Amino acid sequence: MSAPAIQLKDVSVRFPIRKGILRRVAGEVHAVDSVSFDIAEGETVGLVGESGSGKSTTGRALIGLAPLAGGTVECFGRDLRALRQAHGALPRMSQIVFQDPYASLNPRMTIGETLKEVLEVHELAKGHDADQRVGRLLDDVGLRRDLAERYPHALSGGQRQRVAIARALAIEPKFIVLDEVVSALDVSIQGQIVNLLQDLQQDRGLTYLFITHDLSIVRHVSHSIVVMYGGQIMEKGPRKSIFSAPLHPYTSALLSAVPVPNPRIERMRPRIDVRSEPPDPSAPLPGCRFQKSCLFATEICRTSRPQLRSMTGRDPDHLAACHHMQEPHVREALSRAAQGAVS
Amino acid sequence: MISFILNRALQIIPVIIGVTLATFLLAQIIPGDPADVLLGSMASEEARQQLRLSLGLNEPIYVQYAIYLKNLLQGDLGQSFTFAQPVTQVIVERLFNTSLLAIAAIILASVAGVAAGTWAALKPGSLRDQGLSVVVLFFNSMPSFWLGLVLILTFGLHLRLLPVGGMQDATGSSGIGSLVAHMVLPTITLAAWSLAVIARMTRSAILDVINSDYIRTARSRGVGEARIVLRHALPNAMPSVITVIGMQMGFLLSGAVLTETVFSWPGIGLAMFQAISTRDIPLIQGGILVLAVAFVLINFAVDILYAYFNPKVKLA
Amino acid sequence: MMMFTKPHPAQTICSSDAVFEVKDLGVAYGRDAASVQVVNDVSLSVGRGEALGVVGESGCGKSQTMLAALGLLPRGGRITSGQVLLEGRNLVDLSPREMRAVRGSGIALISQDALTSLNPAMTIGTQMAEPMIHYGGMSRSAARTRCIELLDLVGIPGAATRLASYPHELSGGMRQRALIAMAISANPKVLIADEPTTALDVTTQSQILRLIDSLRKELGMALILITHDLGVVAGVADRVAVLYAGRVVETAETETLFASPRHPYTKALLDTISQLEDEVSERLNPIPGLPPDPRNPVQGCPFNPRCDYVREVCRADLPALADSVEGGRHPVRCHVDPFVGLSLTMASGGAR
Repeated sequence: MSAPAIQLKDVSVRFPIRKGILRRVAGEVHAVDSVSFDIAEGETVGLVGESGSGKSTTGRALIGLAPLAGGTVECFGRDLRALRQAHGALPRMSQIVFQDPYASLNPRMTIGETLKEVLEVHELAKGHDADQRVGRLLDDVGLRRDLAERYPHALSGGQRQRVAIARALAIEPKFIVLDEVVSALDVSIQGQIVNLLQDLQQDRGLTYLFITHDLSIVRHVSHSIVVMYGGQIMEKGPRKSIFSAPLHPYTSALLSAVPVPNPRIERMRPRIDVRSEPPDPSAPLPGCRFQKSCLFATEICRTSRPQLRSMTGRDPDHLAACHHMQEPHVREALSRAAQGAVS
Repeated sequence: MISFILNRALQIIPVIIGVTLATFLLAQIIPGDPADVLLGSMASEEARQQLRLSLGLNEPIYVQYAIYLKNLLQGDLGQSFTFAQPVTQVIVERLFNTSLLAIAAIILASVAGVAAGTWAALKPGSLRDQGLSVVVLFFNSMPSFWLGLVLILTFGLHLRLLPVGGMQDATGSSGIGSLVAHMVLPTITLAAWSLAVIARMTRSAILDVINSDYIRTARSRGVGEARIVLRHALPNAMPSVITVIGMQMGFLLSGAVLTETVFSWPGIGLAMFQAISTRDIPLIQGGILVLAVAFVLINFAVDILYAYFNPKVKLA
Repeated sequence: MMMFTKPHPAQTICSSDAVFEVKDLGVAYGRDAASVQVVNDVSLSVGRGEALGVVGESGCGKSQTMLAALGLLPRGGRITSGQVLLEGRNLVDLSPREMRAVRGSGIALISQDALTSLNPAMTIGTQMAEPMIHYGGMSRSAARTRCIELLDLVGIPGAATRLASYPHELSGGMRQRALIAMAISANPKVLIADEPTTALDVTTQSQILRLIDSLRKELGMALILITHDLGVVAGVADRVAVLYAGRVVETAETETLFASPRHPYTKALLDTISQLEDEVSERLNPIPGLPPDPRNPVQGCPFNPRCDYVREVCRADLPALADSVEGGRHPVRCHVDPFVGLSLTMASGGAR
């Protein structure tokens, strides 16, 4: 087990809400609420959640694009805040790739110019040397070198995403946040990009945070999973354990919602549902964030926030934050749903 | 909505203060000694000193500004020597005339512009769309005083259909019919440029909106084309158009100077023209201030209207 | 030279009680030399109360087919051939006025992105009630009652207050439900749902799909569900049509399609999904190459550049939609038909 490359400890991110005539700060949106997890070097953590879960904000906080209201982030042993003060900007060891391949590239610059700009801004290469490196970057992501002359609109979604990855690789980072990078692509192309990312990880020992709402993809690429809801972590642990036997009702609900490509099973399988929409992040209720949507919620869920704990007799690295996870009726329901999720 | 309106109203105050400062400074940078201008070059040094004292011209500049503001708040904009009246009186007497013309012009420009722009947008690339582009280019290119003069020549002199200038006939008959007849040509002249801009803006705003998904939803439910344009497309295109209309008010106010001069329309614009010729600084200053404040208030109204059409803005 | 069994002519489109049928439809954009054919020759049908899944990736023409059926093609698009039959009546021939009467009450559409599909400057209530009042002759209060009824039906709590909300004030799931309520408001015979869940959260997707399915059964509508996600059709559709490059390449009952796909593309799509289910983190085996570009159509079978079973004939001739098995219920557009035992043994002599 390698030393953790990235460590989050009680990370919180809050955004002010302004109301009234003078636009005073009336409250805060608790986008991320006391989140802690580690990413081991050379491995991928899959950060899973739906809209409002805080997963994207967490990713951005990791590379300094969102302000930390609390907690610490350590990158390869060094505190993120200290790094930002030293460098004045994003630390060079981290990079991010975004979801929308159509918006992330400047339509007025050719691919070559976009990649060259990164090299020049970071003073890594200039002129002819830069051109050479651009060529190698395109090779690395599986694109033909002649695409450097083209503009983004001439490329397909998958090709553009490869360019975005190339741009992230240009400064030779050790850690990359991948924010929904394949969600906007066709199914047949998603697989190609996933393969590329995994090859790059093996060749260069890259560490990834793979943010997504797509459970099928995340199952394939991640070594471990973190499940977020309403800004808090509901469950985290090794990939296999999470998928085969989830401990938290929300994780089970997510897995229930992923369609199984087998008609007979799909129509008959037992499911765990969610009762309602995600909670209002500007007025967080005390207790568990999932209380309003959970089938098993009781009084204690409304008053006390559950801590992340492991289940007796199970993998100690697999933790969930639920008051009722040890109870037989909950375990029974989740286990039945988990069995049904296999095709 | 209320808090939005109040919030915007609070934002206007610093703008208006800025306007008064700018107007004040304008007069300061005009070369020449006001005492000379007011009394003539033959006046004695004593008289000049007297005048400077009474006008407070020897005080430091921020004191002069304070005096200026104090006077403003009391409604005193100084004395116009061209008209031998207080500036306030000159402006107030002519305010109605200019407003009449400006309002008529903006209504004409907006209604005709929006209608023409929408009509062209519904069939882009067609003959009527291209025709509109030509007309727009024409109205955008030629100067308003040229248009005014051409209209006077054609309709006033050759065809004898409409009066050539002024607000009333020489005989003094001043019924509504006569007023309207006198207003036609100046209104068209004043509105022409803005009409072209508004038409062009409406056309592109409608084109932007007509391919939206929600238009498709309405069509898919069987809503007819006329309703689609009037109740779905136009209200969503209006925010952009309204912003432009608001900006056009500013141009109209300044265009009034030329138009009123060409048509001898007794408004603030004509007075300003005369004031500039005679270097009647108090009147120039007063006129600019009034027009600038009017512009700020108009844009405030435009902001409110924009929020009415685009509910999302209220939350921002 | 091997002799293949003579295929049955493509008769699958033969449901005698088909309430909605598309026959040999072609859609193109642009004129003359710049003309791009996005739908080539699509035939589909759906019976009363039946659910048809239409599956394909971007650019396959699935949305274009449905927009053409409703007469809602964007500027520049036109129907180049074929018929669209609603209860036997050809919609292509109708005047704009007649077509308007069909929309909403004959065929209704649920679009993908509820945020852009709702008028941002109108309240939910106003938008929903508009056709009822202006084209359905209802009074304001009757329309309001009906709207509340519909919002309840789709599971929006506090329906009466929601009528006064603007679209951006609702969450994604609520908006989609409102859109569904609007679509079913005139009791259409056919409901077309174009990627209704793509823009939604996973848990919401599941709820919305089940809502659409239950409404379909309750109101007796025919449902056409357009999606790129095979998992979605597994739970809802009775039959599935797979589209590629503007053509139908396979049609079958859902269980049959998943259990025994015939077209290599369908099989590849299914494989992609099931690989993700594997426990081991091995390399995926995605479909190589790019989805087809209608501006540069490929000679022969459109899938041939990406197909694992390609032969010479595939590169030369476009295969016809035909069925050599099961008497017309599972047609496929493929020269090779590699997964049916019969074809494989017979064709071994003409191997690539």
